[in-house]
Amino acid sequence: MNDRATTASTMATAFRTHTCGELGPDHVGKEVRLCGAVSRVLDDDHIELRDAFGSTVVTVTPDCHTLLQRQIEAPLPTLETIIQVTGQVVALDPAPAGAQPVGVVADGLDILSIARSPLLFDHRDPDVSRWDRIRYRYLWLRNPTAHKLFAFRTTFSHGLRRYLHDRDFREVETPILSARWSPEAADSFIAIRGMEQIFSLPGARPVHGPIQMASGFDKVYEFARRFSRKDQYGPMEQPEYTLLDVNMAWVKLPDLVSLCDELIGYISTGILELADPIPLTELSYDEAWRRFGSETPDLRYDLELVDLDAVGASSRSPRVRMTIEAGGALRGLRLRRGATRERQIGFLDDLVTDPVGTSLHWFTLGEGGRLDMKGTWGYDERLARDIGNAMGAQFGDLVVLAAGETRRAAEDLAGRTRRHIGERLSLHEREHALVRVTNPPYYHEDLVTGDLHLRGDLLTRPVNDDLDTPGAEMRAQAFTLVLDGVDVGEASVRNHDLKHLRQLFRHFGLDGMAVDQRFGHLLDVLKHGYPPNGRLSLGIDRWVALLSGLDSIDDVIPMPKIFDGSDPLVRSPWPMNRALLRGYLGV
Amino acid sequence: MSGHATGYRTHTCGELRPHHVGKVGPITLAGHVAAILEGPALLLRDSYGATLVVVDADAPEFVSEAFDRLGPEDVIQVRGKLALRPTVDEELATGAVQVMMSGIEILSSAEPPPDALMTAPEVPYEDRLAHRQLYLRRPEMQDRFRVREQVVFTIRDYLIKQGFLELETPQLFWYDQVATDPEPVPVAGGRAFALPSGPVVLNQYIKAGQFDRFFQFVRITRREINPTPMHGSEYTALDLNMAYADREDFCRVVEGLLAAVAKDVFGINLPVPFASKSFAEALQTWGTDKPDLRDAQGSPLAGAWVHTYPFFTRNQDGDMVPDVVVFSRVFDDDLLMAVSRPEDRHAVRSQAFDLVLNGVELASAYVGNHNLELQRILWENLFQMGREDMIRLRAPVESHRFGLPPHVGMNLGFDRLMAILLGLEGIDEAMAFPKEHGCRDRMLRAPGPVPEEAVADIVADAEPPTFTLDDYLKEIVES
Repeated sequence: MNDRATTASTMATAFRTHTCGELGPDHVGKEVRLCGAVSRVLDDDHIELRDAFGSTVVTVTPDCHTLLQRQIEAPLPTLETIIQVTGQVVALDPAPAGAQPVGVVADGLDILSIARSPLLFDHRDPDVSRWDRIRYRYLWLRNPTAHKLFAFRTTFSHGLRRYLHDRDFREVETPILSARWSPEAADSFIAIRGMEQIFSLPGARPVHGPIQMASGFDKVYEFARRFSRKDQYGPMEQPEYTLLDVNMAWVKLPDLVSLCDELIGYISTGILELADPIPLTELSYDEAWRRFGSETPDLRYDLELVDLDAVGASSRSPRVRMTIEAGGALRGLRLRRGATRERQIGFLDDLVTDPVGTSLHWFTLGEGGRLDMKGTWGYDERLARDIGNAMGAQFGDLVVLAAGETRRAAEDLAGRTRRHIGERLSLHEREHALVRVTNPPYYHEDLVTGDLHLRGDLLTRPVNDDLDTPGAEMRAQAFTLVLDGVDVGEASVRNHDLKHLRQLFRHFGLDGMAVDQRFGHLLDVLKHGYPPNGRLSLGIDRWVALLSGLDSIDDVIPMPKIFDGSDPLVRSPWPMNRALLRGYLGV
Repeated sequence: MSGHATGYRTHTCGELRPHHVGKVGPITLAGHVAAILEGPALLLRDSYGATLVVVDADAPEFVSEAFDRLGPEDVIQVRGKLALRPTVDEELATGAVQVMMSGIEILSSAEPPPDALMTAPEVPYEDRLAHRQLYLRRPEMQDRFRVREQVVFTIRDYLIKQGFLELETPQLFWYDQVATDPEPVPVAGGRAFALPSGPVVLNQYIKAGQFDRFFQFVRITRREINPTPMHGSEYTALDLNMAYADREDFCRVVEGLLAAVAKDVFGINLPVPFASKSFAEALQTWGTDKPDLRDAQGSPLAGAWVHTYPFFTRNQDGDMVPDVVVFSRVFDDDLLMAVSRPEDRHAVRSQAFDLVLNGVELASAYVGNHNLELQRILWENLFQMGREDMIRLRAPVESHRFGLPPHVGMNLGFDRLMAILLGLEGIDEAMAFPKEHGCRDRMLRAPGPVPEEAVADIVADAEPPTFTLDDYLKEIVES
């Protein structure tokens, strides 16, 4: 207890006077007590002690060796063993590279918790497999990089909270045992409370968003756990993730746009301390597809799609002409001086998976206008030259052509090729780039069949309230926020006119029973007055990962699941008794 | 224009004052119709307050036509000039002004709310839950969430300045066939996760990951609950953990945190350090382990610590079962005594401790066990744990494998804290969307059944796992 009184360290406790990160030249000569793990054995008499704040070199004196020999029958503790060291701070001469210029000569050394040997892997090794990182999380989490990631995550979340707090937003928490099961929540998990007593866990758009707005709240936020049930999860997906959900009453789309802009400004200059905000481009949904072949375009590099339909339609090549005449499309990408970088780009054929009916070809322009054509062509040289001219191709350029039986399929293939080339060749001209993709449709086009499927948030207000517009042409008052090619947020204005909303459901082909099943429990809550309102949500895990330069959210979640949604750390999920399960579910 | 101006309003219903009169142009307000008054006039309400809106004598005809159609809780937008009221309404913050309405738009009509739900001083418990969306519109409810946000923000700010990191533990945790407590969350192939009933076990992994100080506001679901106003089936807890700290270190941080909340949000000086007694002393001195020391200390808030709880208690069947977190540390002397005299193991005292505020148990905390040998003696000799127990305790077992720092952890019932701070009878009044006892949501008619086709993949047959939990146990215990 006396230690606490004599030290200035705010991290001092009964176990330590200082942390391993805070000793410096000013402390030379002082008696200190440190705690931490043995992170390296430097030589017979020197170890490195590490805690969450840093490392300190500890000299193990002969007395301590003797003590250890008696306690653990070894002159030094095993790696990662937790010890407490008492001793004097001394200047290290020469100062070790990259370490503090002071160390501690131990006159006392106590073992607090023994680490079994050998360790399964070195947690500082950047090549530790994803499986090992997750299965042995308690070992991997020790690496200083992980500590930095969670420190940044804490700063990032708290910064966002501070922004909202200072602007009079209120935090209103919504339940995890969210609602009764409905088809609207079919992509989330269910939790069993008893026989046929089922709750759905909240997905990306839980019912409580609109309900908060029907409950008299004005500007509210929540850092909420959200759930997503799938068979396979991509590197930017997890079965559970954290969303910052903001709901605001009495707003129109421009209000949400300015909130979004201000938040981005605050994240850039207030939290990341950048000189300028991360550049933001606004594109309509259709424009994003047209120019970049994606609804989540990566604008860290500029490469754009070129519409070659006119060139193809007037060509003599029957295959190309017929594709376009049948409603297909031809899109090109021109990579300046790409001819010499073909090898880096690698094999492009793998990009042509599904959708069927797509094809990818490319050519380079050599000296004297010599054409070097790749792939199995339905294109003749004259068409290639026309295309090259239409795209302004010059000596040394690489031209990639994507054809598809539908426009969207061609754009998609060109967009994926754009991303592949951008990443392979590191075309990035900006560290980060944000895109606001506005006015999405309510229907999603299946790239294989071209069929339209209703998707997205049907509670969103359309841009044009006119119900004469065919459903497929209707656009929502909404936007997606894309950071470095990854969807990191979305916003929408909800339809507060419940009469119009019901008409819209009918317009989308939902009959009364389907509406009741999907939205009945919600509409019953909203019927006592529902103000105009909107929402903005940010995927916190993705923001933290991307701003930390990671291509997966695993490392910014303390205990993530692996790609199939299972948790090897605690061995979950685990089989349930079949009869019990059927009984609970009533099936 | 105010800081709250949006596409629907120039001001909120709570901010207009006499000094605005003549200084602002046409006013647009949006809100719910709180009352229809003579005049003709109406009271318009939003989250910030209410403003009197009077139909301007010169208003176009459509305004009075629309006015005649209005019902309570309708959502409307009104336009007009701001004027001073002839007689000031002292009850209302905006009571000195009125808006002379010259334009109106009905944005969304409301079915009339059940009688008195919006205005009656007391609303029956069932109605408060069944019509939560209406009950929450009451001004006192809106104000509670303003305070709640301030408390949460103050706590976070305090902890982050004290070097705490925020680490969120998963809600999809292991399904335990033996335990009856957690809610299974089934997935394809008849396998299941379960909700974890709190982060105490999961925290073990983070502690072993050698984070020094960490916290989270975490949602906890509980199946078996005491049917009291201070218990709920789903609630929010503040989970706090410190490595390389003892009980006293920990208590000082928590006292500092609560003192900051009391001072910054409520302007109260909370007496610290709190009184602290062992369980035995507490019973002797206070006659309870949940003392209310407000009168003794002359403060509207008074905290106390009660420590050194018995490790075991007898359950209904008369068996000795642990009464505290099973991996909390016990006093070394007690442990050695109990090994030599197992019949006296009821006397073993744990290093678990409780935080009591105003006579209500607010948090339970424990000093963790970082020494595997002592932990083994506790588990094997005292707790007489079998293989099944070891499987259920695999996190605390495994987390010892590569060293575990000494640590102290606490789980503080945050809704309870809010109920105490706001002087409320039960936690449901401090929460936005509580469920009633038995975990029913009257507003959303949940829980409910699930159609067979929606769970086809869940009840479908799947490959049995290629390993058993026994294999797993072998790996973590016998390695």
